[in-house]
Amino acid sequence: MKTLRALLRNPQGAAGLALCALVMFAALFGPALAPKDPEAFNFGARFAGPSAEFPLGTDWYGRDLLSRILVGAQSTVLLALLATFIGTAAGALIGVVSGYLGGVVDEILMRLTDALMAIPSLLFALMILAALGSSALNAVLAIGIAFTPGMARIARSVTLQVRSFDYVAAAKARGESLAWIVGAEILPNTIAPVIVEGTIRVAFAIMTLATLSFLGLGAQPPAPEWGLMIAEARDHLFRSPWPVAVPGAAIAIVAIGFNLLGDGLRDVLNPRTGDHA
Amino acid sequence: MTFTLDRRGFLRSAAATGGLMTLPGLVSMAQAQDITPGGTLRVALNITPSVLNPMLLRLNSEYLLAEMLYSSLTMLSPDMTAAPDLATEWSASADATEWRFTLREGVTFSNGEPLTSADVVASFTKLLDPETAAPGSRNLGPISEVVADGDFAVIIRTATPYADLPVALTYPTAKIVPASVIEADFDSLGQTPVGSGPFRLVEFIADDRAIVEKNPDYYVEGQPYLDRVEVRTFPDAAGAAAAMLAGEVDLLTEIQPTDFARIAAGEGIEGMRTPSGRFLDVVMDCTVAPFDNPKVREALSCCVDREAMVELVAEGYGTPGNDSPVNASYAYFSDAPLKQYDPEKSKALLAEAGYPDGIEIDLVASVKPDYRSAMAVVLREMAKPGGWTINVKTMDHPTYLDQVWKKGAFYVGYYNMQPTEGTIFNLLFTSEASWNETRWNNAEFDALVAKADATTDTAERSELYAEAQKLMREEVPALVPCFFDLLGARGQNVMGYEQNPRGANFALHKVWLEAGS
Repeated sequence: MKTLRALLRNPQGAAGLALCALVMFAALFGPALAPKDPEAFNFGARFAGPSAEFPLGTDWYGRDLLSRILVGAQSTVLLALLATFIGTAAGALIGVVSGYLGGVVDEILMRLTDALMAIPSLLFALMILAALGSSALNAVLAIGIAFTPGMARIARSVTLQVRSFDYVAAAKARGESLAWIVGAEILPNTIAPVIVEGTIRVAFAIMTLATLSFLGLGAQPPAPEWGLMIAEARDHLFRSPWPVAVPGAAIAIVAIGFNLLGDGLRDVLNPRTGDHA
Repeated sequence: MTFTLDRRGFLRSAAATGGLMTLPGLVSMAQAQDITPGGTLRVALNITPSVLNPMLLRLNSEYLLAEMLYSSLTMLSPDMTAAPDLATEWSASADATEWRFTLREGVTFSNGEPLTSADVVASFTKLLDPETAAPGSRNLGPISEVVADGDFAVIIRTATPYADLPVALTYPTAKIVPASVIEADFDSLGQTPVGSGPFRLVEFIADDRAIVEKNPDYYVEGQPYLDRVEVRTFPDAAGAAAAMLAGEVDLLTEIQPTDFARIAAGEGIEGMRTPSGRFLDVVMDCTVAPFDNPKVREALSCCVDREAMVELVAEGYGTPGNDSPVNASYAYFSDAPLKQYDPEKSKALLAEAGYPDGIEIDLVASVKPDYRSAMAVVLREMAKPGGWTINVKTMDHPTYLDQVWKKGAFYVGYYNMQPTEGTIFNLLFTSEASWNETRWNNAEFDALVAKADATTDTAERSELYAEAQKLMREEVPALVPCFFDLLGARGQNVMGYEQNPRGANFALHKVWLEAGS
C-alpha cells in the first residue's frame, strides 16, 4: 500500500500505472467490450477511416479495428506478461543463487548463461520452437527461456553487491539456511533492478511474440494478435495507414506504460531515492 | 496516370492499356516504327535465381535468366501457340506420333561450336533421363524417342499421339545445350552457361545481380536490340517496388496485387496487366476423411463467394474460378455459370455426408506469396455460415514445401498458367500427374484427358476438354476460386515488352529502349 502511494506521488510511476491499468483493463474485459465480431468482414467498408460506426477504422477486409485491438489485447498482453514473468523469475533465481554461492557453482551457471547469451534471443526462441512445435503457448515458453540468461546476469551482478552487506553476514552467522538467505535477505534487496528490467522486457516480449507470429510460429491469422495484425497489414500500408497504425499505437502504449512503471518502481523501491526508507 | 483517379477509373484505364498491349496488330505496328538498338535494361526480381543449369530450373526468375542465355526448339507466344526458335518449321504424321522438326542452320553456341541435330538429341536424352531429375520433364509429353534426321532435322516420336508437342517443347527447362558439354561435364552448366540464346552471361552474383550482354552472333537478324540486361535481385517485393518507383530499374515482371495501383501511378511508369490462368487453389486429399466423400468437397465449394474472393484476395486484379484450373486464357475453355455462394446448401450437404454438426479442420497456407494466407482467411470467414470451422495455419515457404506440399490433406496451392489444358491436367489432376496432390484418381477424367491429348481434331478436342472441365466442376478435387492477372510495370521508355500469360516467358530479346531517355 505504501509502495502504491509512493508510486502515485511519482509522476512517472503514476503515468505508467495509469497506462498499465488501462491496458490490463482492456486485456481482462476486452472481449466483453468489443462492439463487433473481430473476424467479421464488412465488404462495403474496406479501408475505412475512423467513424462513428468504426471508431478506429477498418482493415482491408473491413474488420473493425477497435474490436480487434480489444479482443487481441488478451492474447498479446497477457501472453507477453506471462513470458516476461517466466524469464524474470527463472533468471532472478538463477542469478541470485549463482551470485550468492560464488565459486564453482557460480562459474558453471554463469558460463552456461554466457553460452546461451551468445545466441541472439530471437534465434534462441526459434530453436526452442523448432524443438517444441509451434503454438502460442510454446512461443511464450520460448521467449521466457530466451529472456532467462539476461535476467540471470543482472540479478547476479546486484547480488554480488548485496552479498557483502553486513545483514547477509549476520544472517549467515545466525546459521540461516540457504533458502532463507536467498529468499528473505538477498532477493528483496535485489528486486528493484530485476523488476525494472522485467517491466522493460514486456515490450520486447510483445515484439518477439509478434515476430514469431509473423514467421508462422505463434498466433495464426485471423487471430487479432497485435504483432500479427501489423505483419499482415504491411502489404496494405500504402492504401490505408490505420491497420498498421492502430496496433502499432497499442503496442507503443503498452511499451511506454511498462517502461514508465518500471522507472517509477525503481525510484520508489530504491532505498536511497524512495521516500519510505 | 495521376493520383486523383479513383480506383475504378484506374482499373478501367489499366484494363484498356492491357487490352491494347495484347492486340497483335498494334504490337507489330510498334515494331514497324524505328527501333533504336542499344542501351541497358535493368530488370528487378524479388525471387533470387539460384540455379543456372538450364535443365534444373524451377523458378520464374531462373526462367528469365535462362531464356536469355539458351534457346529451345520452339518459343511460346503470348497466345499460347508455338513459334519457331531453333526449329524453323515442323510437321506431324497423321496420327500425331511422329514429328519432324527442321533446325535453323548456322547457329553457334557461345563456345563457338555449331548447333546440329546431335546437340538436340543429346539435350533431350539428358533431359528425359530420370537421373537428371529435370523438373517438368513429364510436361514435355509422352516422348519415346528423339533421333537425328541429317544434320539439321530431328524426329521426335511419342508413345501415344500427342497433338500439343510443339507447345509442350516450350517448357522452360527444355533448353538445347552442346552435346560436348553434356558428355564432358554436365554439372559445369551450373556455373558456366554455354548456350545459343540472344545474350551471354557476363557476371552472376547469387542474391545480388546477373549481367548479360548482347550475343553478336544471335541468329535473328538485328536482335537482341539491347546491348545489356542487368537483372537485380531484391529480398522482397517491397524492395523491388521501391527501386521501380525510384527509377533504379526499368522493368518489374511481377507486382503484388496490393502494390499495383501505387506503382502504376508512379511518374514515368506504365502498369501492365494481362489476364492469366495463374491460380490459387485449395487442395483436398480425396483419399482421406472427410474429403473422400464428394459431398463434403461439394459442400466446401458452395461456401465460396468467388467474385468477392477476386476482390479480397486479388484486389480485383483477377477473374473468378469455377473449380477447374482452365479459364478464358486457355484455348479450350468451356464456360459454365459461376457457382453461387450458398452456405445453407453446404450445411445440408454436410448433414447428408454424416457431419450434421459441421466440420472443424486445419488449412495450411504458406506465407509466400502473401495472398495464400489471405485466401485461407477469407475462405475461413466465408465457410463459417456453411458449417465449417477452418483453422488457418501459416507456415514459412521451405517448411511448407518440405512437409505439406503434395503430402497434406488440406492446403492452399499456387500455380503458374500452363501452355495447354493437357499440361495443367497432367501436372496436377490426372492419376499419373507429376504432382498428383489431390489423389482424385478419377478414371473417367484420365481417359478424357488422354483422349483429348491424342486427338488432332479441334472440335473433338474441345468437346473432350469441356467434359473434363465439367467433371472437375462437379467432383471438386480442389477449389479453384480465383485466377490472378499477371501484373507488372515498365518504364515509359521500355518498348516491345509483352506480358506472356503463362508467366514464365519474357522475350527480352524483343525489347528496346526508346531514344531520348
